[in-house]
Amino acid sequence: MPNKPLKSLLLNQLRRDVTILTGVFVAFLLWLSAVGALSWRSGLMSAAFVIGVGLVYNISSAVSLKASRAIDQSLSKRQAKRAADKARRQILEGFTQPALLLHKNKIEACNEPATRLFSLPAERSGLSIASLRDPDLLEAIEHVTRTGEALACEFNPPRRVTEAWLAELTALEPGKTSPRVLVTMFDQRSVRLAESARADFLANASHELRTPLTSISGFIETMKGPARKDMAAWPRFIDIMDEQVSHMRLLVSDLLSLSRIELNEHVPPTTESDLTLAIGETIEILTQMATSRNITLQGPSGTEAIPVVADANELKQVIGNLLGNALKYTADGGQITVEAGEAATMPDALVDASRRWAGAGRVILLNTENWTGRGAWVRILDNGPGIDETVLHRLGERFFRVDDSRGGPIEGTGLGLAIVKHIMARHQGGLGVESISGQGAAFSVWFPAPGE
Amino acid sequence: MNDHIVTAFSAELEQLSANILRMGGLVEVMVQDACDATVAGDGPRADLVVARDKQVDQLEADIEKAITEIIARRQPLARDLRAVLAALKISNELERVGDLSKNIARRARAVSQINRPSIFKGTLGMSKAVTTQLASVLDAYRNQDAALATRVWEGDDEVDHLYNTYFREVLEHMVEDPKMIGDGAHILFIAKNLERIGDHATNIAELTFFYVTGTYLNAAERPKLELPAGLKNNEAET
Repeated sequence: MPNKPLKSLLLNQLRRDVTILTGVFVAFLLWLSAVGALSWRSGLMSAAFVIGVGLVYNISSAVSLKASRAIDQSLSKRQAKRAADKARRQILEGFTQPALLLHKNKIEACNEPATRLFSLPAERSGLSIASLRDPDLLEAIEHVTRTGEALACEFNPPRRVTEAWLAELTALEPGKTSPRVLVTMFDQRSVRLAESARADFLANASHELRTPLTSISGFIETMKGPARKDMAAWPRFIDIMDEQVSHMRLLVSDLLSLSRIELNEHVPPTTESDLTLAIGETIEILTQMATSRNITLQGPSGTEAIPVVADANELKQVIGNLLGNALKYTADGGQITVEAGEAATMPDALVDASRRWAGAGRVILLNTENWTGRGAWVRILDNGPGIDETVLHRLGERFFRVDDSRGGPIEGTGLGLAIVKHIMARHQGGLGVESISGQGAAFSVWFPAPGE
Repeated sequence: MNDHIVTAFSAELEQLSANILRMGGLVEVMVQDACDATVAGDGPRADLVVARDKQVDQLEADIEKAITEIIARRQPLARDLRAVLAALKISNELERVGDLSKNIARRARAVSQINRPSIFKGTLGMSKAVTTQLASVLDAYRNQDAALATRVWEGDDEVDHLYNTYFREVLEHMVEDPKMIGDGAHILFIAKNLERIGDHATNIAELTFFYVTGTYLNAAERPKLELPAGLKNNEAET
């Protein structure tokens, strides 16, 4: 307030002037009486009156000066408090996670994420802390307010039952009787999800491993017990055990490659590979198996190279897994075709690869959209029984198999497509499936291609 | 906005609504915990629900006492009167919700031996819908948001729909497998309790609307679902 010192200065000057004026006037009156122009009596009385007026003015102005100083002081104090409040709010807004500042059972400040978390009203001055509602959180707040100790507590914000949040509470002025409490909150959902995913995976993996193990140990028991002398049956038993062992070996190797791929999933490949070459090599490996079952394996018509940004080994693994699946599920005498092509953009590649059949069930199992350049695609189609539309979206889940719906004893680990999906995620590509019941299924993947 | 010449009155009204919200928060968590405890067969968690119900009852008694005192000493009028009346009735509704959650929690130990998690999908679906309704209506009360209260009020048929479907599903399980009858009966009661909690949320929505606007939501206009065929004979609409 710029007029504050001026005002008191003016007041002080006025007081001095009035005092001097009173003195001069009194002296003048006394002089008048002395020269005889005024009677002594009336001269003294007038002088006393003037002195009285001067005194009253002086005292009252002194009092008002003091009062105005007090008012100024309290005004500046209030200003300072407002500035502090504003600073506190600004600090809270600086937090990226939800944060609250509580004081005397009220929400004093609250940043945008916290407003959203508790769906607080826009006009939120003077809201009671009970607005937060969660009993565990309220209890923790009361504890911290009372004792001044820092505390962490888990809570569920309303309407977000599947979420888990952790609140950290700190008393800002622990000595005071009612300290301010700062609450910062952290979303624990990703941590929880990772934990439960790991637990699920372990449970599934051990279940899958136990099944062949049970079968093997069952046969061993039979061979040690009731069938000890029945040598004629032994070769059959051993064949089955051998089968189970090779299944376990397959499972372990799939698990290992899955964990290896997961480990570097966040590091996209930088090398260039040739799609045509990878398809040719993979078909060559599988041709013998196909001809033994009288299945025609038809490669892409073009022979020119299709460059993609991919790791050559993982590229072959993707094509191999998809072709292997097609072989497993196609009946003897069937037909498997591999098609490949280039596209101007990744979305074009997606369309070219996975939207071919009218009226087919279709699910895009994976699509990463952060590639802006050219794309290339592979499509592997069979004329097998197709896949039930209701389970299409579950393909690519670990240990998910459609055996039951497709019928027949088909062996596999249930990890093949999961591996493909992870590899494609690493390559920033995509994976899709189309299926027409009774006519066949088509799996397709698309990759980023080098160049504009 | 609750500025009174006697500031103590404003403070009393604020304290009242804070206590309602406190009660609401307890009840919200109880419904969730009761259902989770039942599905997971988590005994200690169920005990927590039962313990919390005592707190709810205590809060209800406190609120009633405070309201009697406010009416006797302040003779509230208009909006203040509505605030006090709504608080009184909402606290009753919340106390009922607390009782129903306790009832669900009591069944946690009885049904924990069911070896069929799929049957609980409906319980979880219903509990999610019901807790969402409860949370929304408490938000509406706290923010004095009549529009949100109306949305909650209209949303109850979703809970009813879930209840009807779930009822049929559980009945089917019981018909298929007589061993399921005992557990199925428990689950039916749990579903019914959840449906009742949904109704209480609707009532709170009506009270909140009355508190904020001073007018009533027309009960005849609310969309209501028909009871499923198997239910008409043995279930009276409450």
